[in-house]
Amino acid sequence: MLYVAHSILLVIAVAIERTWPGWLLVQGQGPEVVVAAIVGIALSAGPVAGCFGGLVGALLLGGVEGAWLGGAFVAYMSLGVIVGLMRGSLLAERVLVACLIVVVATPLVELVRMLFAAPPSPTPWLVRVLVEAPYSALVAAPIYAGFRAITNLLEPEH
Amino acid sequence: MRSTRTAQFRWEPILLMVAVAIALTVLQHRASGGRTASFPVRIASRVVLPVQSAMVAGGDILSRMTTAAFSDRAALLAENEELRRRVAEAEADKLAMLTYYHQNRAMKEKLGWDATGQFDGTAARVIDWSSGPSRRQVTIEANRELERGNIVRTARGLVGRVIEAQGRRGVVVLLIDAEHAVAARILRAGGDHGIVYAAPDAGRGEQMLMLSKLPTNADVRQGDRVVSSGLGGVYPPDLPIGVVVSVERSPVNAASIVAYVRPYADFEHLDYVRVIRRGE
Repeated sequence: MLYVAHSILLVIAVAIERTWPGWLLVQGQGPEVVVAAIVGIALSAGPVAGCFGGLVGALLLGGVEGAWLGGAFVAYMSLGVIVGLMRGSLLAERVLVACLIVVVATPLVELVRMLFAAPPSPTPWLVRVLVEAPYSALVAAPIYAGFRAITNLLEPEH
Repeated sequence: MRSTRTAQFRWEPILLMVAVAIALTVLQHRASGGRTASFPVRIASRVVLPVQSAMVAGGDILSRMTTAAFSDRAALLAENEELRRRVAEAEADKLAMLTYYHQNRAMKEKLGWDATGQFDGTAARVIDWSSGPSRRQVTIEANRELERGNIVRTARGLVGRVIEAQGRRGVVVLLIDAEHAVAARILRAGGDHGIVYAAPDAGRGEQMLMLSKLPTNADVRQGDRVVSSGLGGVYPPDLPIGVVVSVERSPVNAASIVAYVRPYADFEHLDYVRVIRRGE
C-alpha cells in the first residue's frame, strides 16, 4: 500500500516538475521535484522504498523527457538507497536535513546523469544546477513532510 | 530503532529493482532505432501525461481566476480611491454649506427675515463709516439700485434713511445723527406724538435718543415703546425706534417734557441692514 501511494505521489511529482508555472521559474529554472520526492521517500521509509522511488521516478521522468533511462536509474536509485541507508544514523529525520540533502543531491544527480549523457555545453548546465539546487531545497520541506505523513499513516513501524 | 531498521533491511528487493531497471534500459536501448516509442517511454507517457494535462488545465483556470481577482481588486481599489476623493469633496462642500447656512441665518436674524422667506425690502451691507463729531452716517451697498429716501432698518429697529444714492451704494444718515429727526409716537392707544432726536450727551458711552416736542400734558412713562408716527411722510408709520428709559420735566417749564429713548438698533455694530422702499 505504501509503495502504491509513493508511486501515485511520484506521478504527481513528475507532473508538477514538468508543468512548473512560468511565473515561478528562477532564472528560467524550476525545482527538481522528483529528486526532493525521492529524498523524502528514502528519509521517511528507508532504502528499499527509496530505491523503489528512484526506480519509479527515473522511469516516469526519463520516459516523459525521452532521456536515456540508464543514467536516470543509476542516479535516482542510488540516491534513494544511499539516503535510506544513512537515515537515522548520519541523517536525522528532520525537514531541515531533507532540505540539506536535496541541496547536495541535486548537483550530484545531475552530475551522474551528465556522465551518461553529456550536455553540449557545461556552463549552462552548471548555472542550471546552481539555481536548481537551492530552489529544490525550498520545495523539499513540504514534500518531505508530506511523504513522512503518508508513511506514518500507512506503515507506522517505519 | 536503528537496530530494528538494520535487521529489517534486505538487499533482495533492491537487487530485484536494479534488475528491473537494467531490463527497462535494455528495452529502451533496443527500441531506440525503431519508429515506435519504447515500452518504458509508453508507460511513462500514459501515466504522466494525463495528470500533466489536468494540471495544466487546472493551472489555467487558477491563473484566470487569479487574474480576474487581481484585476477586480485593482478596479475596486481605483473605485475606492475615487469615492474617497468624492467623499472628501462632499465633506468640504458640506462644511462650506454649513458655514453659508449659519451666515445666512445670522444675516436673516439681523435683517428680521423669518425662515419662511416672507420678507420685504432688500439686504445691504455696511461698507463704510463716516462719523464726525456730530455726523453719524454709514455707506451701504445693496444688491439692487438704491434711491434717495429709502428707509434703512435692522430686525430690531429703525436705523435711518438714504440721503445719497449712487447705483447700488448709498449714504445713510442714522437716527443718532445730530441733525436728524424722526416724527414718532408712543406705542399705546392714543399715544402722544413727538420728535425723536439724537441725544449724544444723555448716555454714558451709550447711543441714546430723546423724544421731545411732546404735548404739555403728555403721558410718557419709563418702558414705553416709541415707533415712527409717519407724520411728514419721511418715514412710514409704526417702525420701532426704541424704548423710553427715563423722562425729564424742565424745572423752569413744567410743560417741557423730554423722554430719553434707548434705540432698538445697535448702531455700534451695524453690518447688515434692510433697505425698504417707500410703499413697500
